[in-house]
Amino acid sequence: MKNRTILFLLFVLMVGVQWFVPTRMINQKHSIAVEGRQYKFQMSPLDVEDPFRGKYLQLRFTVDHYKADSNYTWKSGDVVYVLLKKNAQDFVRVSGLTSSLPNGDDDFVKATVRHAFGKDSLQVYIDYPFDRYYINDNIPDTLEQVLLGNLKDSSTINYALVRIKSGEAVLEEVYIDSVSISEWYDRIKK
Amino acid sequence: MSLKKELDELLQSEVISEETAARIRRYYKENPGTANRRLIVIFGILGALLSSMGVILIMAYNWVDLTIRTKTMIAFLPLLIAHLAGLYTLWRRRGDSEWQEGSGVGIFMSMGACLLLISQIYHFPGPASSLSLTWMLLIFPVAYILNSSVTSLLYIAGITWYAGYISYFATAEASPYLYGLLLLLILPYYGYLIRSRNNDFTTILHHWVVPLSITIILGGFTQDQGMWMYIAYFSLFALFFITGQSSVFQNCTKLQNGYQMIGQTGSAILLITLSFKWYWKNLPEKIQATDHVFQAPEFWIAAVLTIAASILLMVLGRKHKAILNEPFAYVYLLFLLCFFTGLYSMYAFILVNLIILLVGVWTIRKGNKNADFAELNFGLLIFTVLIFSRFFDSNISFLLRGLTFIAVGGGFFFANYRMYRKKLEYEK
Repeated sequence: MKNRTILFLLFVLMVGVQWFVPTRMINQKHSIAVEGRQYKFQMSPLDVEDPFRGKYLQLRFTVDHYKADSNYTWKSGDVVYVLLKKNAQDFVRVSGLTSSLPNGDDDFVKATVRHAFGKDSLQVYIDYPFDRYYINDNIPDTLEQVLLGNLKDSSTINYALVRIKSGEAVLEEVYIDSVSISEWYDRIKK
Repeated sequence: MSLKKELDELLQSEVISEETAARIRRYYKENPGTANRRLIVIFGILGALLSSMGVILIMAYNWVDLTIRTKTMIAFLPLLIAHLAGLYTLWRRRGDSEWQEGSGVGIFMSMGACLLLISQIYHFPGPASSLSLTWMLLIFPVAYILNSSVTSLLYIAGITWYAGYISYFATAEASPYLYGLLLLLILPYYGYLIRSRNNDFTTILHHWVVPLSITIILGGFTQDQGMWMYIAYFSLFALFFITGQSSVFQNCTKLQNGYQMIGQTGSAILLITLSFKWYWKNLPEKIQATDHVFQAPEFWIAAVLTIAASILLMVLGRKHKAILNEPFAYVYLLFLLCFFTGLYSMYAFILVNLIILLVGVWTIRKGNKNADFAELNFGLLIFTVLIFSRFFDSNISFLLRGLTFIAVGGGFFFANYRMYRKKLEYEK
C-alpha cells in the first residue's frame, strides 16, 4: 500500500513536470510575441529549387553575414550577439557582433556563428534562431508556384517579421511580395 | 492437435498415468496460454504506437484555419489521454503488462507529439534533434514508474538518435559526452529487468539494444586522433564478449546473448578490416605528427576501455575458467601488440593476418569439440573472409583463385559433414 502511494506521488510529480516544461516553452515564446519589438529581416532571393523542405519554408536573409574586426576569432557554433539597426526602408541591418551580452537597451538578437572566413577582414556568417516557417502540409500547387516565383525574383520584396525581446526572437510572419503568407492563402482560396 | 486429444492418446498408449494427465490439465487451467497473453501485450504496444503516430501525422497537417491557442490545446490532448491511461494503470491495472507497456508507450509518443507540435506552432528553428534531448529527459521516469520495458527500449533508441545526430551530423563541433549520463539514467531499470524478468522478450531485446547503442555512439567521440579508436573499439567488443560470458547470460541461447554476438562479430569485422595495408601504412607518421597524445580524449577512452576489459576478464576468468578458452576474450590484447609493432613497422598487418588465422582455427577447433555447428561455421567464415580479402591486394591468377574458392567450398562441406556424422554416432 505504501509502495503504491509513493508510485502515485511520483507519477503525479512526473505528470506535473511533463506539463510544466512544454507550457514554459510556450510562455517564453508567447511573452516575446506579445512584448517584443518588431523587426523586418529582408530575405535573399532563393537559389535552391525546393525551398519547401517537407512542411517548412527554409528562410535565408540578406543580413546573414558581417565583416567583423580580427581581434576576436569566431568559431563555427559560437554564440554571437548580433547588434541591429534599421535602415531607411525600415529593414534590419547588422551594426556589430559581440560575444558578450550587450546592454539591455541595445537592439540585438542572440544567434550562432555558421562559419567565419578570412584573416584581416573576417567575414562572419550568422545563423538566426528563426530560419524555419512551418507551412501547411498540403499547400496548394498554385500557391506554391506563386510563392516560389516571388521568392526567386530578386525584384520583389520578401521579409520575415520577427519579434525580439532581450535578444530572444520569435518569428511572427513571413511576407512574400509584401503580403503575408496567411493572406496569400486567403487570396488563393477565393 | 489439441491438448485434450494429445493427453488422451498418451493415456491410451500408457505413456503417462491418469494422475500425471490430471496434473497437466490443472496446470493449463491455472496458467491459460502464455502465448496468447504475449500477443495481447504486443497488440497493446502496437496499438499505442500506431495510434500515437496517427495523431502526430494528423496534427502535423498544420491546420491554417485554427488559432494558435486552439492548436496549442490540441497539442496537449493526446498527452492528457495518455496520462489518464497511465493513472488508470497504476490505480487498477498494476502488474498487467499490456496496460503498463501500452500506457508507457502512449505517454512516450504523445510527449513527443506535444513538443513537436509546439515547435511547429511557434516556428522553432533547427532540426528536431534539438527537442529530442528535452523529450528523452522528460520521458525516462515513465519506464520506472509504470514498469514499462518498451518505453525503456524507446528511450535508449531516442538517446542513440540524439547523440548520433549531434556527434555525426551536426555542423557545430559537439561531443556526445552527455550520452553517457543519459544512458546511466536508464541502467538501474535495466538492472531491475535482469534481476526480475530475465527471460522476458523485452529484456532480451535490451541485451541487444544497449550494446548496439554504445557501439554506434563510441565512434562519435572521435576528434583528431582517430587511430586510438580502433583500440577503443577492440576493447569495447572484448568488454561486451566477456560480459556475455557472465552468469547473467548463462541461460540465454546464442541468439539471445546480444553482448556475446556483438562482441564476437564486431571483433571479427575489425580484424578483417585492419588486415589490409591501408591502416598500417601511415600509422607511424600519424603518431609522430600528433603531439599531446595524453590530451587526446580518444587515447583516454581507449585506455579506460582496455583497463575495464582486462579487469573484467581477470575477475570473471577466476569464476568461470571456460572464458580463458575463448579467443575473442583476448583479441584486444593481441591487437595492442600489433598496434605497438605498427608504430615502428607497417608489417604489423602481417601480425593481424596471423591473429585472424589463429582465431579462425581456434574457433573451428572449439566448434568441433563442442559439436556446435554455429561456432564451427563462424570459424570457417572468418577463415574464408580472410582468404577472399587477401585476393584484393595480391595479383594471384584467376586459375589459382578459382581453385581456392573450390577448396574453401569443399572445406565448408567436409567440416560440416564430419561434424554431422560425429553427432549421429554420438546420438546412437
